[in-house]
Amino acid sequence: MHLTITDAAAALRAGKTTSVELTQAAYAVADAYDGELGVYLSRFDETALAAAATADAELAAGIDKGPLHGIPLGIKDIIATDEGITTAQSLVLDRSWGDQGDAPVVARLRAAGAVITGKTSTMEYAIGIPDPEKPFPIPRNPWNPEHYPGGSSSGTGGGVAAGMFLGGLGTDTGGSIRFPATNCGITGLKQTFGRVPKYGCVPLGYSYDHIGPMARSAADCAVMLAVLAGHDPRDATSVDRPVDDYTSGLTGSLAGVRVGVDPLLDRSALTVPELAEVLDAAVAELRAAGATVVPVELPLYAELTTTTMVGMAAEAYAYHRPDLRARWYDYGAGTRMAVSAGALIPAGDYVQAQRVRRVGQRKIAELFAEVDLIVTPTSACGGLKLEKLTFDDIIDSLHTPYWNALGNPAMSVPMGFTTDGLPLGMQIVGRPFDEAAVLAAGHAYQQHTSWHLRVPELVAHAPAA
Amino acid sequence: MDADPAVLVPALLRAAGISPSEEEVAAMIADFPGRAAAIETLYAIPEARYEEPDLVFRATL
Repeated sequence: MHLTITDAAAALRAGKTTSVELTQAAYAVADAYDGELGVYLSRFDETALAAAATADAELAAGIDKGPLHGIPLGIKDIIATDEGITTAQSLVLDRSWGDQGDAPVVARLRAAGAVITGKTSTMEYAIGIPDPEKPFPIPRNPWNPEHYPGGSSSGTGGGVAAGMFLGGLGTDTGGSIRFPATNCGITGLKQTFGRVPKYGCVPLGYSYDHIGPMARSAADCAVMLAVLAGHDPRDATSVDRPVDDYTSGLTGSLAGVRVGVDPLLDRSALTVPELAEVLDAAVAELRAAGATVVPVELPLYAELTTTTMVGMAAEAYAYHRPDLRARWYDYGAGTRMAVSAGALIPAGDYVQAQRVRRVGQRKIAELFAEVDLIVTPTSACGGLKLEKLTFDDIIDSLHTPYWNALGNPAMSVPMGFTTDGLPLGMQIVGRPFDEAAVLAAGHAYQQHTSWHLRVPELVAHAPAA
Repeated sequence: MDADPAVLVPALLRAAGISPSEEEVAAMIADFPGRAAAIETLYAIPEARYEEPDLVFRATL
């Protein structure tokens, strides 16, 4: 069960497998390993297998809804689905909140024929760290279960890496798609802010939140984004502009593409020594694919990272204050501490953060006049040890929140391993709404490398589709 | 910010109506100066002096 979506779609059409077989194999992996890895909060076996049977019948009848038709996908449990309760992995969220039914993103996946296998684990309300005192699974990294798979889209990240589904949805407010993507050795895309509607998703930071695809490959993310993207007026920040063709540019060549690289090695106390060498090797592959590579320095790096942390806390606090007052101890310790930081941020400082975001947009646009893409490490290190995990260390290790302040599309692709055998990721960033260029670069890189196809030893002998 | 975090943080929490444990309040007090210093850097960016905030407001729903 370690196929890419693209390979599975081809196998379905070649008659080499069926959607029912894919879905059964995915559940077999979950049966074997979910107790250890903490991927699912709820499974939809009955409806998923029925949807898979329908997909098989449709494909057999010549009804082809595209590359997601019959593909098993997991959904982060802060996004509403028809099948049941959305918990946000919290005791606090009103259980009737999800009664609205499918969020637009889920409805679009379903209309494209995808098989929704269940809801995946998250940090509570998409922020904080795992809390063993609460009645929810602790997500663990398939590459080493003593380590964190990253968050907050932990279950989708771990589930793709383990083969419990072929792709899924995560959300990203400060890096929550790219962080589990890098830690779990998969590919994850935070597209441009507003490109994918987030109605039907429990908010964290209204002006920083994104819903996006997580899968093995950039090509898989491209086929998912093609379905997810597009305006929905129920999301006030959804952008009404045409959706690009994300797959036709996946040529494998980066000829004529200018890539700026900022290694950010001195930006985190947690930077592992091998990161520089791993990144250098990854950049060499971009060069081998035809790219011109130049060094760059991200403008206002610390300040823009601060604007994300300040703005996210303030916006989240506005949403959570009534429940923080009434149900403080029902929240997990990490979540209530992170969100209540918003109570300590003056309104003027929040506005100043929004002014600095605008300055940052101007400065990054100037940089993007010189290069077509920017590359950094996604994180300073591999997955941190769960027993020593702190929220401060997570924030210190990440090179992702900067881009939530700016809204640019940013994708993490696997680029190698630490000396301890934990995955590392390369972050590829493009101009606003130029997801096609980001995906094309990720795909070209993955035509020259096989990191994204590696399978954790833990699940290497799991049932195959 | 010159105010003593040991005074300011509990006051802000009281004003917000939220009641963390003593240990949690102590952690918030310890974190406060670092966050305040980071926020101060946002006011030190010359280009932000006359910039408009990136806020969302529309006259129609």
